[in-house]
Amino acid sequence: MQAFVFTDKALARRAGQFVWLSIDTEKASNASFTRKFPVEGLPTFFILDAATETATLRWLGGATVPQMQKLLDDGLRTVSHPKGSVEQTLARADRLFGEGKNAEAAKAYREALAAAPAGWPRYGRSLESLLYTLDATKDREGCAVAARDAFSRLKNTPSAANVAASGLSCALGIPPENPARRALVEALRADALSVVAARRRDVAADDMSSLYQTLEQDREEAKDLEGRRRVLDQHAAFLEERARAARTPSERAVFDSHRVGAYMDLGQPERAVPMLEQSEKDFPGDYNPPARLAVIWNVMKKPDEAAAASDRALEKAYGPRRIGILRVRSDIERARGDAAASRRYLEEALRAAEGLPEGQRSDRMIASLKKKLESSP
Amino acid sequence: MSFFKGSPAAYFLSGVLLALPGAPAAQRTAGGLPFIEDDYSRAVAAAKARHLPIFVEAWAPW
Repeated sequence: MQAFVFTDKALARRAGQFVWLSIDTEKASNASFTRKFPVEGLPTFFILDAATETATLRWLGGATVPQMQKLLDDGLRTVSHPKGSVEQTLARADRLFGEGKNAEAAKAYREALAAAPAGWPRYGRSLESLLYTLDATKDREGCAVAARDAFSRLKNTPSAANVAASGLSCALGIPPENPARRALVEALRADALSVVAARRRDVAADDMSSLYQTLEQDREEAKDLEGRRRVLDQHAAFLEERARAARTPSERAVFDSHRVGAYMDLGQPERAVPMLEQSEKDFPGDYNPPARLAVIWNVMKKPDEAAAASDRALEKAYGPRRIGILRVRSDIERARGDAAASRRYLEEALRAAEGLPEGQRSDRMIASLKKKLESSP
Repeated sequence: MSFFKGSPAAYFLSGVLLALPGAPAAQRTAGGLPFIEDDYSRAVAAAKARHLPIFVEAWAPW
């Protein structure tokens, strides 16, 4: 977002409308913030009412500049006690969502959407938030139905990719014995493919990338490996096209993580090496390029190169991400045949996980590391 | 808003993958908006003094 959106001149005129706060959720010093406000995914944007220190709006995931402009407009609206029943209902939904009350928020978003007039400018954002809350509360069928029913209204807007991807992801999550599943998957797959074919330039890159990922999951579940490979090829080509169009190294590096995922899923991890080496050169203080190289070299069965990259990453890494790097390092040492070192890194990862402050500490992560340690020689 | 959980490879690499990550850490102060970095109390005090809402970007460097 810093590479593409917040540096855009179109947003500079809004500098005086808000106090702007950036929170690196990996830093222990920010754990008090993440305890107070629900960060369920990254990035998450909040509008806060400073007088009450409450969130009046929350948004998960990326946004284009025009989407951010609308979000900021809506943010100003939420703190100024909007008038009109639909706007008041939406403000209530946004506040509930901001507080992390997803089930209550879903109900309120449904009310707002049901009462929305034709052409309501907040329809897309409200629907996307509704889909998130339904998925988060495991109402996958409700999420898929809402996406299917809204798609025709949103198919020519920047929300189209996310609505199709979210809806299809939810539909794939419906239990196979549910008779509604098949028709929902088929309808939402068709919607998703229509978004890919439209090649809209006003859709957020992460929404498009997620759309490809969902279509890959769909092909995998259908056991259509050739189809999955075709989607992965398209996905990699999309990310490479966006990376080539980058105006700065930071704009290009934004695509590194999704490109690594696509190349690994294609079984071609070596394709990630040149870009990651370039990113490490461009951003010597960033732990991500060597951390990703460590994974790639290990998958390529070059554990010594992987260990060297891991050393470089661990010199710079902090917070929860450091635990993931230590865990990968344990795998690398095992591949090198050093069981004692492998166990040592796992123990270090467990100590680091248990030492994180509340707000960053994950019981799931700790349990998973303990389980791995139990089976470690 | 993307909330796809990611492919196994992508999940493995990024922990919880929701969106493309932010700019590398070294580049984050180059933006045109006057972000206060990692100081919630300072932001609240500034917002109360100026009677403004706060916009927060919660992010991670991965």
